[in-house]
Amino acid sequence: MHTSTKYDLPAAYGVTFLTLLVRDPQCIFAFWEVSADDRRHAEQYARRQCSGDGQARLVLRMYDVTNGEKYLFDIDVTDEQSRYIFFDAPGRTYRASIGVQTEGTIDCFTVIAESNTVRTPPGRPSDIMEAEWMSFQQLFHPETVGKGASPVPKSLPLHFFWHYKSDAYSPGFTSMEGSD
Amino acid sequence: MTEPAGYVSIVLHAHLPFIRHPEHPTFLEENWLFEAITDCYIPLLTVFRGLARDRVPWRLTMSITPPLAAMLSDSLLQDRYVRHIEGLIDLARREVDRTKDDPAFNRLAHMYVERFTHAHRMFNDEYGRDLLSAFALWQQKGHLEIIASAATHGYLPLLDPNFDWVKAQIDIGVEAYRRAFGRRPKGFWLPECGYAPPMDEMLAANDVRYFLTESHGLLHAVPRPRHGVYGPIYCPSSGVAAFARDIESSKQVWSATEGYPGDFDYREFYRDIGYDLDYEYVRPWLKADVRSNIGIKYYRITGPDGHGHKKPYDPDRAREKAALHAGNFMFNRELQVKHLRSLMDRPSLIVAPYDAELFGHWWFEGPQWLDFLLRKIAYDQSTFRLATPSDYLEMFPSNQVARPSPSSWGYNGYSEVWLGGSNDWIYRHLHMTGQLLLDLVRQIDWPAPVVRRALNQALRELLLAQSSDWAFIMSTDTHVPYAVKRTKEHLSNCQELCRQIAEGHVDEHRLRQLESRHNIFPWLDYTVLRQQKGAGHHPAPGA
Repeated sequence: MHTSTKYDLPAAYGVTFLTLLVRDPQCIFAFWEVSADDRRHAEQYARRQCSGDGQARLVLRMYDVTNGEKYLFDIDVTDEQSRYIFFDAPGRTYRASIGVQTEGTIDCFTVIAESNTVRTPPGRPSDIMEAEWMSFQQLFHPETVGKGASPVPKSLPLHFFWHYKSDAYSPGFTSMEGSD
Repeated sequence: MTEPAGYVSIVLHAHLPFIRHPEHPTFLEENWLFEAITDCYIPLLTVFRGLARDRVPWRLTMSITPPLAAMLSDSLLQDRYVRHIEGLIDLARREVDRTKDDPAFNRLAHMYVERFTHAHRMFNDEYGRDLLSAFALWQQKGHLEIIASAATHGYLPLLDPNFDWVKAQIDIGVEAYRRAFGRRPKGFWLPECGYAPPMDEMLAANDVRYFLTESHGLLHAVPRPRHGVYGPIYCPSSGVAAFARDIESSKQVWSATEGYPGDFDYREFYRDIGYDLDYEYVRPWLKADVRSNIGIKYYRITGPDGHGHKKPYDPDRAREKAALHAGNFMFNRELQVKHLRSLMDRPSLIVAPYDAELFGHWWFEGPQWLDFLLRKIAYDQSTFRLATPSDYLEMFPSNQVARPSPSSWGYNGYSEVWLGGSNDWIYRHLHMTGQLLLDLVRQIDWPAPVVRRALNQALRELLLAQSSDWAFIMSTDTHVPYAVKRTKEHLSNCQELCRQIAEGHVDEHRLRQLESRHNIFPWLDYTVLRQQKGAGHHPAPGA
């Protein structure tokens, strides 16, 4: 909910950027701005390079870069400035580009901005069980490891790792005002 | 003394957003601080005094965030609190008169006179209006471990993809702690327990030894921690220890369905005379003539129906229940600790963090419960002992090395409370304004005094815009316009100052006005931003 105040912020900053933020293991939030100049230049360039004069669409292109770069999909983003993007697999690393997709004799994509790289949380207990057990001192003086490093204890049973359910959240002081 | 089977860390997180409006004679949202002083901070300090008087051993961890510390030290807010509590004493006395023919209510009216008079005396006379020093004293006496938090309680995972502003929030938070408490913090409360790498490295750079995460920060760590949430892990490159919230002990207090605070004998938060009594009668005690909570509440929860007929509050019955619940909490920890002792090679640590403001405000009997609990732990059992996270690290310095999972203690465990349809629009402006200020800092080498002041104020404004509280409030359904206004106001102030600095015309009158209104961190020095990688390297003078 927005309220109009004397402190209205700019609708656009006149710059070009694309930012990804992780919301949860299966969702990231992308937001961007493409300046009019950058968009026009990209469209002109695309038409020259792609030998066509078809429609140029603004497109968000997603990549999974967990192990090398893998193209995932394109999202048409005509008038929007942000989008939630959902994934099946947690624990992956993503990046995105925003650019102009031109349809002509050769379909081609002209990049306008690249995003930051983000990693989604694993969302589950790790299958990796190897354990390093160190004191603070040993952590920064690896030469002392093996000379008195503690034995590694056995793990708690698996059910201890699966019962997380977040219904124990603080109600928050600031939301308490007001009558029910 | 024999080694106990385990340890318990009770952590109270005390935080309120920076709300101070000298431009208005009274302001509704300033009441949050005043209510917390009367309901939470003074009752907690009173519990601590009682324990010391009776020579009960106790040990707690507490975070007091920089905005709260700044407000507790602010003379304008201190003066206003005294006026506020004097007003309440006056109202409670009128209530004694109004209820003289109804013994059940009259007794409660007397309770409020006594309660408010006590708060006034403690605040004004006993502590000389300085509650921050009152808490610091318990740290000096070795009972309390006060930990630091981010400068304005920014929700760090979303603050800045380059982490420049995460680093600024952490560095300035640690500096605020050092100035408030005269020492360096051992631990750090990540606002909303929001963790993502490489925050631990920024904590390490400030010599912070540990932080707290939500349960799955450790349950989903890589590799899988052998002790689950019942012992810390060391983050791989920084060596900072991460401790995680225990689910069982959290649920007993937090859970809306199973938690103690919902007991039918406890005081009902939502029946306040600010709403219940004749408007003209209560109007002098309302801010801006709007009905709101005043702090005099006469009913107990009574039953499951929020709107049903409520019975008068019975303090004796509630006190009995608080004692019972303290016993139940202790008993459950004993069972838990004994069970874990059979599964672990060493005593476990149960970490139980709560919002400090829950105690006494939303859960009226919370401080009483804590008082009973600390006494029972000291005298009625020997299975576990209280310890702070740093006590535990001293006793058990050898721990597993693992990478915590990004997490928060918000709904569903990640960032959706602060990143959703109601509040996602803020990040574009926070990030752009942050970059604007960093770019400016990079360009300016030897600013004139007024430019230096303008840069410091621009930084103050941006930090205030970064408070997680605004995004949180936008996700709820009360006070939303205020949170939107605060976000836009601070961002627009920062942008305006940056523009003036860039154009070489700082409006000094306006600057003075902002400095006096938004006066958090008077010692703030913008050059802290020069250490951020986004601000680039500064050449030596003349280079």
